[in-house]
Amino acid sequence: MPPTPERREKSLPADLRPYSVIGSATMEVARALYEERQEDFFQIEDSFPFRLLGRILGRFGDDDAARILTVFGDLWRKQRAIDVTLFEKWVETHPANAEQVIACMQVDPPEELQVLDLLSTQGSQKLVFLAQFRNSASRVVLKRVLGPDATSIIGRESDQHPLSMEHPNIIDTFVSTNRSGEKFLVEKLLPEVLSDGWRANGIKNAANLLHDIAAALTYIHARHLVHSDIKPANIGKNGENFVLLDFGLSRQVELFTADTHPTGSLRTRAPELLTEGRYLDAFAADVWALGATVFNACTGRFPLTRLGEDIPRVSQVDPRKEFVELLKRRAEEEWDQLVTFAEIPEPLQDILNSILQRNPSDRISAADLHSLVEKKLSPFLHSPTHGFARPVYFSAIDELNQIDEFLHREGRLGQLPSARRIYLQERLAELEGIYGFDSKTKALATELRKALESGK
Amino acid sequence: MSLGKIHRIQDSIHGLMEFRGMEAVVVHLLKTPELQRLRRIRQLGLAHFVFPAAEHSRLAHSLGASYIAVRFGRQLSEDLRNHYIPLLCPDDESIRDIAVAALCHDLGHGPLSHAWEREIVGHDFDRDAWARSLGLDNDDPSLAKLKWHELVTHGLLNWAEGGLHLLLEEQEAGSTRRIRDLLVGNYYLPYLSSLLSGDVDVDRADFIARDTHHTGVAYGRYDLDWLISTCTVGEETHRGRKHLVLGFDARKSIRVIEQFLIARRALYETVYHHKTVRCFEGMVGLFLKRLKLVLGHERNLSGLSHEGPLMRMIAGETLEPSEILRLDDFSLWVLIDDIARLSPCDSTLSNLARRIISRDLFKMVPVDSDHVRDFFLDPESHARLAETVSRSSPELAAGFNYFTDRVKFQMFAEESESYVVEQHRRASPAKEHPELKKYVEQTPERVRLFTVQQAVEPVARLISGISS
Repeated sequence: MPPTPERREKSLPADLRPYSVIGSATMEVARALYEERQEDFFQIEDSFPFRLLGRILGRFGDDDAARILTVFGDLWRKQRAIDVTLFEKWVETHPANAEQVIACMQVDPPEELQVLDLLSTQGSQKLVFLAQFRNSASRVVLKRVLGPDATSIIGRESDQHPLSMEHPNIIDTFVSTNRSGEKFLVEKLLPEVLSDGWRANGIKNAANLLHDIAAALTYIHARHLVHSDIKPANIGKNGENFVLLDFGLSRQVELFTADTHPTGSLRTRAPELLTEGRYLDAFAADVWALGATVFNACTGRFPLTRLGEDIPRVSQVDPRKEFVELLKRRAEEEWDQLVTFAEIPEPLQDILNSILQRNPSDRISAADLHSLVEKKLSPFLHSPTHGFARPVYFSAIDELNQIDEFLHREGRLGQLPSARRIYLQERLAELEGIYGFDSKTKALATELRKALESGK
Repeated sequence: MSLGKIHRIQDSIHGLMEFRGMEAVVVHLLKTPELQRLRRIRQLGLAHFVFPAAEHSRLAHSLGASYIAVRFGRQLSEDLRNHYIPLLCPDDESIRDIAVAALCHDLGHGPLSHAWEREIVGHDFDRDAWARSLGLDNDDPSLAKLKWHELVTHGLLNWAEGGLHLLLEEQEAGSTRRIRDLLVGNYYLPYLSSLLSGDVDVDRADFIARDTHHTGVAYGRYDLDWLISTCTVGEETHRGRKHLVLGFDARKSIRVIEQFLIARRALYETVYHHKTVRCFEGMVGLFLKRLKLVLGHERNLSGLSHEGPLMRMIAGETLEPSEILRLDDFSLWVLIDDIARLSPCDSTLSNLARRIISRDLFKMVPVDSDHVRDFFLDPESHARLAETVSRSSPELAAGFNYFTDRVKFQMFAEESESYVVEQHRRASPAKEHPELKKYVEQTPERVRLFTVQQAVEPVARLISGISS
């Protein structure tokens, strides 16, 4: 029997007390829910979780807490229960961001998965979650597409998924459906995804990035597909292997006509897309984007942007339009000042030059690029099949001592092949700069660097 | 060339050999004329006259050695990663280097390999002249102690117009120099060089298995997989400094090293030193020696061209790398056959050729090794022997109607580079291990005497001191 208004005013039930502390808006939603006897939100019979929910919501302000509680109620009405343990994790991960917590709550994942975290919002249409299989500890990336075009976007991306399973440099992807029939993209979780700030840290990384993604492009181009959104954030790293991600904008090459509006990141947009405003050769635009990504990994900027320059997001409509115009002017007038290769490691310069050609017809194809990289950069490339992961169990001092004992004093430094010589040069420069070395160790690092330079 | 592709070659010994990533260069190098020449040189020279299936080529052996080198390299890179910094562990590139070096280790062998080198080249060959002819730097100290076939290997790797050199340099400028350095032990990972020249190395690991299989001698078998799995690197202290050396885990490897050593000895005793095989080698040696003499005096063998590299080298000339490519077993067999059929000016030469072609061999004089050795201590012995043989075999010139064969086998080389690795990576020479040092014993040289069948009995009586 519901409590009478008189009783309610006299004594506030214990379950509602945490909400009263948050604020009146939250209290109002909580009281309404309480009165509807919605104590079993959490699949638990007693009313304790409702009280616990109030305590967790205490980390938010009144308005945010009220919004979250409202979503709770809506989901309950749709007979969707939220696991309180998961909810607490979402709040801990995003303590001051109600939108992100709500995004986690609102996603109704396929039955075999549970959402652990919101990883990112890719544009306005796509939410990317970290999820875990319920019957195993295996974790995956779950992508949810919002809006009226969701079905077609998922369909477009999932159309490419059969090929993803066949190539080591293309992300494993499959489609999964929840109880309501909503489709999700499920991708293998990679330990590392690149970003604009990712640096190649030596030629070996840059060479392997170029090689692996060129291999992926060769594969998809041979199947008449264009990726059309190559950029650092769409490249992952699995051990030594670079992997191409996100086929959301990928289409058959025939669909890139003269009327197709350029899409994808402005950072890696090919110059003809800026100056002509249309695709002249969609494959060549992919190759440019890869070159621009590697250029950024080596220099810290993209070929047509300046160091530290902010790129307006899609949601910033006017600034973005202005930025497109700026890039167009640079492509037309400042090419020689911007598309320069002095900062690129020497063995990569000619290859990047063959990619970053203004005219798409002068640009190397993905297949030729892949062959060229294998031919010219083979000393820097890891084997795709048994390249071994580098252990990191050695302290910097151990490392210096082993270099000294077994290479320097044995007179072997001069015998190092070029790839290892470059690696050691870079590594010694790093070691020399380590803060906290005593003077003796620092002197050893310097001595080794000088010995390497003199080839002894 | 695709680095991503796995290149597979089916082999009678190793089954499906897979070359991955950078190792793929091994498969591509096979196309070069320098490697293809090895198809036309038998690994066991003349042994197929006794063991009919022993027809396998030096190419098959070289490829097998290369594959074993890859397997050792992979084992080492796996085993060392937790003990040494990455720079000191084999990576894909150094595994490729050792695989290429193993592939090329026999590149310079001449026709019938050792018989050619012994009779035509000789131990005192003009090193400077050959180095010049091969386009090598005479002042390069690493060439000073090389045998002739090793020098030729360097010449072929260094030959700027050669397919092998071009393909390697296309992969990476300077890589031929690095492979050459690796072959002479100058490599930044010194323990990898030991894979090419030690008591237990990839050359022996392949030829023991391959020769055993193709000759059919069952006691030459050993457990290659286990041997590879025990391979590691240890630290040897010499003059107060530590050095990284190739070795085998002392806890697990002693029995397999023992098996390996015994297998090799069995092959030497049964195949390489088989009396008929040695007799063939001795007769081909006599033939080559006679041909050299004839060409040196007259340079005129009717019906035969003297212009080819084979004849020019027999006559004592040095060759350029492009000419080396035309030296092989086939061309030598054609020459022997031509001389046997054409009856050119020298009857001894023709007679020896006909005997070789028709397998009409000299016979071993049935006197034990010590008696033969004692007999030759007398400076007059050769004259007496030649006189005795000539009475029975007037068709052969003196000095070409008999030959002595001296063979010796050692389990461990004098300067052994094989180690066993104990706890804490401490390495010590394998031949000093308590369970292996019994194999260090010096076996005496074995001396055998071969001559024409009719002279066997009189010669036996001569050596035994029994008057006729």
